[in-house]
Amino acid sequence: MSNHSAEPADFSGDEPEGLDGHTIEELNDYLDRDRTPTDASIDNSPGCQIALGTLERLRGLTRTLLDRDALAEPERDDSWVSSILAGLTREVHAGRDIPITHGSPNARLSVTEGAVRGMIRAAGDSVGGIVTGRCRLEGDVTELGEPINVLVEANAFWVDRLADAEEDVRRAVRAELERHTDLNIEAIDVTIEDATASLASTE
Amino acid sequence: MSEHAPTSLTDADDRTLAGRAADGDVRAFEVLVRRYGPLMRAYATRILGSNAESDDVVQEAFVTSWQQLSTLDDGRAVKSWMMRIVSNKSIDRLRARREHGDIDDHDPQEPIERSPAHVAESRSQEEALSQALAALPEPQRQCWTLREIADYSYEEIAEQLDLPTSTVRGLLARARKALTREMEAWR
Amino acid sequence: MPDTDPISTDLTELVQATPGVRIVYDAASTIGRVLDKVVDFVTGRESDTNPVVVKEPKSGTQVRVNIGVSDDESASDVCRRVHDAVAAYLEQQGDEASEISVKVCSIG
Repeated sequence: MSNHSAEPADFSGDEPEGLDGHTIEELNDYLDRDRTPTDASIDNSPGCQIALGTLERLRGLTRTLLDRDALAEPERDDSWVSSILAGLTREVHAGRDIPITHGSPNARLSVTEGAVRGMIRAAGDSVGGIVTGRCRLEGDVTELGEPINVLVEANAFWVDRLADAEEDVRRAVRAELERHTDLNIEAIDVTIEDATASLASTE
Repeated sequence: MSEHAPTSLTDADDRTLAGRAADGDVRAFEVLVRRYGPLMRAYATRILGSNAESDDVVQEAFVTSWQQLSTLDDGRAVKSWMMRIVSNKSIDRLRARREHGDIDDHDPQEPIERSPAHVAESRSQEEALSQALAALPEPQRQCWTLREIADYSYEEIAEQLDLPTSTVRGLLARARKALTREMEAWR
Repeated sequence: MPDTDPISTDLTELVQATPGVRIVYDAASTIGRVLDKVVDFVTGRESDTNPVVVKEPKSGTQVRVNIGVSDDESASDVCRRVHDAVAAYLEQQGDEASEISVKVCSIG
């Protein structure tokens, strides 16, 4: 790649010499373009090749710089986490009000969408090896009797048969929805992604 | 209904955690806070040039993330999404500093001259880069950090720092020259 | 702000004691913190006021309750139970209830 027997570019001036008429900016743009289309005057210049190597090293180090900083951070006690969590509010995720039936005309009974999502999450979590992700209730849940589609995403860890797990989740979710709500559930769509591989990697 | 083992939550991928947190699961959000908090603090420190306000910035960023997570379509992008919130809030702080005339406290007017011998004393290349970055004048360092670490385009940097795009290019060119000079000395 | 009305006090205690109710949230505030401590009427609370909102316009008493329920029973059943307990209490007091609102904000 680079010609090691050549003199390295002289950076003592403001604009480095030894780059055969090119500037660092041009070389940087060349790298941005993945060196295409090829520029013979750059590729054939030993000074440029060395400078390109330097720029690449700079980029490589930059990418790991933040990670190094993060690792070098002093150990914090848990209070910084607690203070962050204490600042969060609940209502952001309450969602729509789902009506609960009652004979009395003066009754306004409901369960929040947020509460139902939490319940769906717990149902999915109850299946071995499953961690529930996002839940969606599609359709107008504020209207009694409206057919509703439920979408559930999840991660699976050490699960042999994903199809069986999907069925287990579907069953658990349906059972809980019927137990706790008056929703008219038309379909429950479960999408599970195998996340076992992430456990194998060591950080 | 059993309480599912919390350890699985810490192993869950970003998409699952973001999805749960977007639906209101505080425990899932807590995992994200622990997972990316240090990185976000390091990021804020890089952009601000010091760590005095990093904690505040990161706390604000997490509050905003909690409130707006449901707007994030692809949960897998939650890390870069939160990092972008951190840089926006860091830059807001910089802007506030500028308006209050605090720049002199943070801006070395001249880059510190570093001899190759001095640089050679650094324990590693990364250390050298870190020191070289710290020695850059603040405008150069900010442009470089936003470009190389945050992946902002020239136009985005210009907009964030309230500078003409040509000025941003010039600052980046000078920063790059200074840094490659340092790295060259390390060969 | 939550109610200091004696009816509100009684209702808060009543709701809290209803089987299946895990927590009584502040029904008047629009900002609730995610790390709510359980409002335990028996052992004491942080504020002096009650989370159950009671309004008494001429059209009849209006009550608003926000609750968290345990997972053991149907949330709908507990919700109705709370409503019925409130309705029974008001009737006992000779109060005409025009609206009783009970919202389940968390399950389990």
